[in-house]
Amino acid sequence: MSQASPRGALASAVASVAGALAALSCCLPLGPFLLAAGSAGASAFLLSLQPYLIAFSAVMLAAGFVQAFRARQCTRRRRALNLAVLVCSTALVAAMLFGYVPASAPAGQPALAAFHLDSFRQAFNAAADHTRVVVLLSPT
Amino acid sequence: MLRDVRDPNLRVFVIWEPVLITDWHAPGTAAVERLPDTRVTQFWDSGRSLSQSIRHGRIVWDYVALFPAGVHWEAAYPPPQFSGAPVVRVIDDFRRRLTE
Repeated sequence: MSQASPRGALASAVASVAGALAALSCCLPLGPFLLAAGSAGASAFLLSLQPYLIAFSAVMLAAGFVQAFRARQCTRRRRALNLAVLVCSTALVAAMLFGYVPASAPAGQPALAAFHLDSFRQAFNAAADHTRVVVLLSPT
Repeated sequence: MLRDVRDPNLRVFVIWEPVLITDWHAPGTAAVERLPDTRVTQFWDSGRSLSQSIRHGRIVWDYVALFPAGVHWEAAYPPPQFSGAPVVRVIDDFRRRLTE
């Protein structure tokens, strides 16, 4: 059986980081920068790909671990580098999967709230003296 | 579009709901920040309960509705003065109604 290349482990780990960063960019305020550059379409593209990028990151992370553990000809320095990249990758993917940070609302708006029909009806009626607009949207 | 409407008392309720397979969690900051108007209040309706209230058994999304002052929501979702979907197709009519 051929031994796994340490370069492959490193590539998998780097690919995982790249996938993680691409997916994470949907949570980080990259969208506004893209919008500022007139690239709203690019932001929507990343948002719609987010689950797939996360899945890809997880698969690449697993492959990186397998290759890192199978590699036996690594120098100590390269093993340390692989380990560092894998740890960073794992931390990033874990942060994406389990550390979801609620969206921060734009300045002057209340924070994004969980919807409860009765509470919403009360808020709707409380503003009955004014014109109201109701919009239903999908995040992606 | 909201920039064109100067009424400071306008209230805009934006309800995000999961519709597509990619809508696996609440909207992130990038999505929420697309509506940077202080008259806006945003919600995450994970169970699509408002959609069910509007049209039972169907998913209502990419939808906009206009309610003039005086309309109350009693037992059922009140009929809007104007509504339509998808937003991109009705936005001009909507803007006209809103600024009338």
